[in-house]
Parts: sequence; structure tokens; C-alpha cells
Amino acid sequence: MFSRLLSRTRPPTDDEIARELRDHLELDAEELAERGAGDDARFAAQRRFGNVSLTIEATRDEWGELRWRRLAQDLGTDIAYGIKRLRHAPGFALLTVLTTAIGVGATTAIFSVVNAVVLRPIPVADADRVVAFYETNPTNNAWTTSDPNFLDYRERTRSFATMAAVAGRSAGGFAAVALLLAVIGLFGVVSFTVQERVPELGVRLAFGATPHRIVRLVMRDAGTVVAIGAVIGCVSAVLLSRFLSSMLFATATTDPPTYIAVVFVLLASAAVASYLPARRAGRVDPLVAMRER
Amino acid sequence: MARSRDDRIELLQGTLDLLILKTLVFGPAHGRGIAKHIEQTTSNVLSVEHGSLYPALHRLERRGWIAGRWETGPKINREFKYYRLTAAGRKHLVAQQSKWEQLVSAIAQVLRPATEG
Repeated sequence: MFSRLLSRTRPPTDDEIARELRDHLELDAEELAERGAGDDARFAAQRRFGNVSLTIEATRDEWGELRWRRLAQDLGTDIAYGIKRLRHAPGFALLTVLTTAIGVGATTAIFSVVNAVVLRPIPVADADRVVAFYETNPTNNAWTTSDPNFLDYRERTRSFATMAAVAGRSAGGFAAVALLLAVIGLFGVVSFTVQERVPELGVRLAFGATPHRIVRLVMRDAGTVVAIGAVIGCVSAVLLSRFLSSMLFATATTDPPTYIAVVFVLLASAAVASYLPARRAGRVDPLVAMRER
Repeated sequence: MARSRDDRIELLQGTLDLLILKTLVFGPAHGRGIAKHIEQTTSNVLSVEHGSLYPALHRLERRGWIAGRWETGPKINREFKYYRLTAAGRKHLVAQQSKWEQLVSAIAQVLRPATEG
């Protein structure tokens, strides 16, 4: 009963609706051509046929909220497929998930803290009179100022009206380095994973898959695995940034733009890393591809 | 045979649903086949535009009264989406048809009184 309901209420994709209408129009055109109608008549018939995109829209609307359920189902299928691949090639998939998770986690956590501590404007009046100064040290080039030194400076200054300490300056550099490392690592893992699949892709090509489909398949797989990693990374980043900010006595609020930016950078890197070898794999002779390894 | 456009009558909503169900009693058909059948059996009095045909087909499919499937046609080696009547659809058709006949005879009684007073 339940499965019958499911199969009956599966809404069509936009492509399917468009295909139905296209078939209809093509048969009309064929019939007109058979009757020997001229181009004018055919053109008139086409115009009479009205606005196709409006019809597609109205047809799609008949399914209402079921369409959203289908989109959710398809997403669920993709995730299930990603998990299945995780089990098939656990090494690479796990490596991808971990790289993404650590990349997203470390980068966003550090950046959230830096953002809260450094990049936000310091709440002072007359911001144009604010200057920053650092200590330099000939022996180890450290540029942080110890608490006692800071207190001495503030006590004895005559040039500055007042002084404040800013913590976490160097963490900004860490965040950038962490992101760069994550991008490089992810790029390597993903392109290597795709390279490993070249023989399998060759089989698909031999069975008639188009290069376009190969690229889509590979990119969807990579995207799913990276997305799983990104979710794990975001969750751990939220926890990590809370922990870090409590250590730095700062209030690092979870900063959505940071998360979005970092996830976007990593997804983009995964997309490029999977697109390039996939496109190459789609172009080679299936026989060569199958023999590779 | 071909009537001018002005003689054609646009179908009322709901009526088209009934005509589609009835057409499918004779066997599976694709959208255009259904439209052609309705137009030809009414000598082109009724016109079925795709703007109302496809929403109606999908409305009926969603309710489970008809079922659509992509299949190769009998005379043509090409896939079309063929619709067929389901058991629920058949039941619905019987109910709707008797309702429709009641409505028509009721209207006829008003428009053409049997005896004039």
C-alpha cells in the first residue's frame, strides 16, 4: 500500500514535462508536413500552440508540495550514494571527509576568533587617532607584548592618550595558512580519487556514457563526500571556536559568512579538482582508460 | 470539416478531466492522442489546448486516477508518455459520468420545458 502510494505520487521532473510537450509539438509538425503544409502554416500552428513555458509551469504546479518532496528525496539518494561510496573506497572517501572537516573546522574556528578579536573595529572614540605598535626583538623576532611590558607602557606613556592590548594578531595568518593547506590537501585527495576511478569510467564510456555524464557523475560524487566533510567540519568548528574564544577571553560569535566562505572555497576547490581529471577521463579512448592502472 | 476558430468551444474545467478519463477507457494514449481523439469525436467543436491538457493529465495522475509511463508506441519506434486508466480512475469516471448526465438532463428540463403553460 505504502509503496504503491509512493510510486503513484512520484512527481515528474521539469525535463519530463518539457519532453511530453516537445513530443506533442513534434507530432503536430510532422502531421502538417505530411499534409504538405508550407512553412507559413507550420509557423502559424506553432504560434497557435501558445506559450509552452506557461504550460510547463501550470503542469508542475499541479503537483504542489510533492515536488519539494521529490527534490528532498533526490538529495537523500545522493547522500546515501555518497555514504555507499564511503564504504566502497573507505580510505579515499574518509581522507576526503577528514581533509574537508579539518580544513573547514580549523579555518572557520580560527577565523571566527580572529574576526571577533582583531578584524572588528575596536570600540573607541576618534578611531582616526588610533595607532598600533608592536615590539620587535632582535633574537627571536617575536612580536607579541607581554602583560607586564604592556602595563609599563601604559603607565609611562606621554605620546598616547591611552593604550589597549590586542590579542590573537598572529591567528589571522594561521587561518589563511590553514585554508590554503586545506585547499591543497583536498585538491590532491580528490584528483587522486578520480584518477583511481579512470578504469571504471572507461567501462562506463564503453557502455555509451557521454563525457558530459562522466563529468557530472564524478563531480556529484566528489561534491557529496566533500559536503559530508563540510557538515562535520562546521559542527566541530562551532564547538572549537567556543573553546578557543573562552581561552582568549573574547566573545567569538559564530559568524555565518565565514562558514559559507570557507565551505564555498573548499567546494570550489573540490569541483576543480574533480572536473579536470574527469574531463580528461571522458575524452580518452575507453580501451585505454580500462587498461590504465 | 475544419471549423473556424470561433466555432470552437473552450472546455470548462472539470469537464476536460471527465473527457480524458472517458477517452482512456478505449486504451492507453499519449497526451496528443487524447487531445486528437476528443477533437475528432466532437468534429472539432471542442478544442483541447496543451495549456489545459497537460495540467489536467498531471492532476489526474497525482490523484491516482490515471498512470503515466514512458513507453515505445505501437506503430512508431519512439518513446512517448502513455497514460492509462487505473481502477480508481474507472470508479471515479462512472461516478462523474452519472453526475454529469444528471446535470445535463436537469439543465435541459429548464431550457426546454416539456409542456408550455
